[in-house]
Amino acid sequence: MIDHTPTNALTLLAATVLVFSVASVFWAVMAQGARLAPRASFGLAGVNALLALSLSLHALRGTAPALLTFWASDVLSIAALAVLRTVLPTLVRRPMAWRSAGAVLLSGAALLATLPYSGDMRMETRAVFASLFALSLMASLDTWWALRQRVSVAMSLLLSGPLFVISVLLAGRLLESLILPGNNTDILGAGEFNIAWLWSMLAMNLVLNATMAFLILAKLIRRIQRLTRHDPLTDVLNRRALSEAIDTEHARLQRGKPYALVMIDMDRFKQLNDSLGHAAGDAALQRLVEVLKPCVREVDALGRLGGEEFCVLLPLTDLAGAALVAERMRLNLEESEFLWQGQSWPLTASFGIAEAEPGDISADAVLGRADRAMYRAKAQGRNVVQALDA
Amino acid sequence: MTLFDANTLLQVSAAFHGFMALVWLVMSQVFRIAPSAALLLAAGYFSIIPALLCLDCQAWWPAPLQNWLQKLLSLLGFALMTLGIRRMMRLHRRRLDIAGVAGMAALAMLLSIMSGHSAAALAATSAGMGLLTLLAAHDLQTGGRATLTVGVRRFLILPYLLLAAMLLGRSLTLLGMNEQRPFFVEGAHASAWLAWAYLLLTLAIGIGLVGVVVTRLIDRIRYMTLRDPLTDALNRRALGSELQTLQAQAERGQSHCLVMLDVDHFKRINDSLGHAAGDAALLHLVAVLRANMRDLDRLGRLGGEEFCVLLPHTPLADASRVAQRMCEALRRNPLVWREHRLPLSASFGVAPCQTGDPQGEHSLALADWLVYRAKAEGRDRICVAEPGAALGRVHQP
Repeated sequence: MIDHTPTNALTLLAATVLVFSVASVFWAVMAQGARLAPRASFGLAGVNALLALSLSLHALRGTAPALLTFWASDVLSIAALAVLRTVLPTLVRRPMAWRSAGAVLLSGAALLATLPYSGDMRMETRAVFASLFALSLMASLDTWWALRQRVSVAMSLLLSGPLFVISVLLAGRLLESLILPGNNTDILGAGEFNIAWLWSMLAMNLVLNATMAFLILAKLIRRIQRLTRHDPLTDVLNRRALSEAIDTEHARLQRGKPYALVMIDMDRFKQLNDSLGHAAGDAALQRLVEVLKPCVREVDALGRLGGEEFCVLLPLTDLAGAALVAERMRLNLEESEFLWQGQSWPLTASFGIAEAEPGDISADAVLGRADRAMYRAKAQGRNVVQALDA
Repeated sequence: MTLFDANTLLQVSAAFHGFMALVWLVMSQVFRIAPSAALLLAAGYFSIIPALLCLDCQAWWPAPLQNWLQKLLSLLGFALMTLGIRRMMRLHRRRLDIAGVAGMAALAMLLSIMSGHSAAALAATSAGMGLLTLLAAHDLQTGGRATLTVGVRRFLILPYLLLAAMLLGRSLTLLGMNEQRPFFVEGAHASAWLAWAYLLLTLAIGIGLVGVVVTRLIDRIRYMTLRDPLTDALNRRALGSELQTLQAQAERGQSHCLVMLDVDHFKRINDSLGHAAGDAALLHLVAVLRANMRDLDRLGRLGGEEFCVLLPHTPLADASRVAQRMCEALRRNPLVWREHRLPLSASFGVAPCQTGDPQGEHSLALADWLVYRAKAEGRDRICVAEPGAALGRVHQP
């Protein structure tokens, strides 16, 4: 610290334990009260509690039994990171990674049990920090890969970076015991090194907790963003999001980029609802989307306009291309099976296609043509693809 | 007090303040969560650090600033944090009280220093910080009424009250005691136990604020999953579960009703004027319906242009009067959209919640059928279920 007031090691350690304990209570409340990512939150409550316990035991060196204050204290700190490594994947809906974490914890604990805990304790330090480093690196890499699949590089770096920094610090402590032996491992020793290490432990823990909170916040925010753009029932774009996509595409029409729309309306949806109930109707819509989705490319946008009406935006596609897509959808749907409580119901839809033309003032004109074409398909007996005559 | 060292504890508090400042900076700049409130909180946390970090380093400041700069910064920090909390709780009250308390405390502090009363200066600063903390607690209490339960609010506010008591207590002690008696959290006589208390309260307050933000996000998600994004009415699923509650009560003899309605010739609006006009029509409809609803009533969108209003504890006769009022209000208030005057009407079906129907499907089907009858009779009217029979009677407009 830049201060000339000396830092008291015992006070700093006690304060650090207090911070860990408060953090532990916070996560427990979040998990229990707010049901916020309960497994991860409970895990973090455990991580903080284990670290607090490990440090408290360490502080009792000389007054309490050696097995508790040395071996148990070290194993508890490894256990804390093992719990962290275990629960992290649950934040991205993957199973808990308890095998690798458990393996490191058990081997670390076993190795420490064979060591004498006397002399300069360099071997013990190496065993502890090697285990901590391995666990922290696994957690960091996990987080990085999970984030990279979901958010931008910058965001992934920001959110997983702190975990890598912690790994580097732990690795540094391991290297330090190899290159510069002689630093007392007793963090209560008043040496400057130990004071600095205590401060960095406090900082690491704060950063760890903040990073976890940010990961959970990022998850919540992504959920909100999804909810504002997607239809909750079928998970395709909602009407607002689809309209925006179509309007954007329409703006590019002026630069000679054509696009086409496919309007889709499920056949006899009202009858289905009336005879099998609304729950069956919902299931049928979900089934419809499930069948249609494989027919759209990454650049296309499938959205629900409301009720049983869907629309697909096909950028850089003309009427012939749209006809191909629509025909494939129609066929897939006709061949698909929809069962509701053992009862089979034929799923078909009527399709109307339209291509944007240079004369179209707004996207509504194209939508209107696709809509009229769809009505023509309905009039022709349903389960067909139709376009308006030019 | 030999076991623990107050200075170290204040250093830890300072480190935590710096950490919280960074957290709020990330919240505001990266996550865009309540950006202005988060920025105020970050600035507040930063301002308080110098007063905590080193009590003896006043000597480092330029001589004319030595006595008052840290005190002023602490006051500023508390004021900024109180402002941030008020912002975060979305209370649009005037900020005169915060500015007034902070300004008066600063003035009193500066005057005391100029007249050479350093204890009085510290007392003024402490009193100002204590009052600001009380204001923050009050804002949390009123602002959290909508989203937080009583227990959670008490739990959140407790550290504020304790901190305020601590600061005001220091102020009173300083004023009551004679000159140059450095009281806790200041100077060599700093009391470790009070520094512990300060650290714990700071941790509780800081983490509690993060908790408030997180619960707010969760509430938003919960709200969004229950609402139709366009009209803000309940979506079908949410309306269904509300209806199930009413159906269960209907079994125990309560009389509830539901009003189903379908906008007349909605497709015409959509086709002739575009979807934007259709959206405007639905929003207009919802506004008119809401004006004729009680707080207890629930409005839901079943899909497309079909809506349903649940009227708890309402006999059928009253429900049909409500529907009639809604029908007439729609007729009286045409939608004005981009200089188009669009007359809007709907067909209503009014049905009681039936017994022996836990899912509410029969009640909905009856209301649906009544809407269909109202449509068949020429639209823009209500059709009410006949008690005891599945037939309705149509009210002429």
